[in-house]
Amino acid sequence: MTLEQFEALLASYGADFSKWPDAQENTARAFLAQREDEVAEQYRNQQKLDDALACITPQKPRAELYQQIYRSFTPTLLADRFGFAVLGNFIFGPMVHARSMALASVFTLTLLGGIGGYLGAGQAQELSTQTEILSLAFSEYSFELETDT
Amino acid sequence: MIFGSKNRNPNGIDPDAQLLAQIAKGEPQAAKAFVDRHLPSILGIAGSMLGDAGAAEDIAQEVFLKVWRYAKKWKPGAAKFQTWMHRVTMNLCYDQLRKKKEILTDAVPEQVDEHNIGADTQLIQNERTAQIQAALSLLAPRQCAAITLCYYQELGNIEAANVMQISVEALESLLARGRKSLREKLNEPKIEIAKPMKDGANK
Repeated sequence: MTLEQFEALLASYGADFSKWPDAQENTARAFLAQREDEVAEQYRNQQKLDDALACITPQKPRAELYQQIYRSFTPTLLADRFGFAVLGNFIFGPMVHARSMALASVFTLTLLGGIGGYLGAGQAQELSTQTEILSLAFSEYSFELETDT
Repeated sequence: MIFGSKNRNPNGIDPDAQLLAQIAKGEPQAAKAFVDRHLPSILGIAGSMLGDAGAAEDIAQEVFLKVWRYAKKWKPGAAKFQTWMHRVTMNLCYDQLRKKKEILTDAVPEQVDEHNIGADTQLIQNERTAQIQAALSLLAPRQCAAITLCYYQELGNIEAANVMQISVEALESLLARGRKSLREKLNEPKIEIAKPMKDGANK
């Protein structure tokens, strides 16, 4: 281990060698023993920072927080079980894959479009027949505009 | 410089796999066991990053809601579930910090007046802890996250880098810059608390 490597790792992981990567832990201890004079000040500074960081004890969860989170499990699960997605699955069957869902949608729309087109065409034909009958019925009459003059 | 990580999961099997399968089936006991196992670390990360106990609890609740929803979609193999969970926690903390950014100031909370030291050791200890906590939360969020994961959560460097989705080299750089910045903040000159004027001082 070179001095530069030691300094870089010291700056990153601090003075507690147990927090260093496994492969470097023992090497670092040996390096410090051999070249303590050169790195003593940096090592002390990092030790002070480690001590400062150790002052903070991680926040411990309150019993109420545990309870709140336990309770959140069931409603979330129920919402997932009886939500719109599940309702869709229940009505249309389980369509797990998005691609198959898209294909099913395209198929349904095409089918509905086809039926709509067929019915619309029938209606139009009927209207056109009615127009022809009316045209024939009125074709025998002629109208003249009468004026008083 | 990249060196191997601490190997904290030698067999490579995700310790949460079985619990998650049970959670996906809707077993409340599995959910309870999962919360017992992970809540302290989730709260620890959020607490260290935000420096606010209430906000950290909100984040923890949100993370577990995501877990309940995500459990049935999760497939073992690719990454450890805990890594995903830590990542979610950190991202929620980043969002929270972004919202709070405008009200954050650069000032580290005041230290106890030296004249009062010795009067109440516990109080002083609390003040010191608050000062360090504040200095930590004033770091750049990613530096704070790196220190939290490596120092307080004791993750190995590879695992911490995975959580942060960065290289080990980048993690080491964040750690070094974070520690340097923290040392500077803690070494800033003390801010004197305004002392009450003694008798005759205002004459």
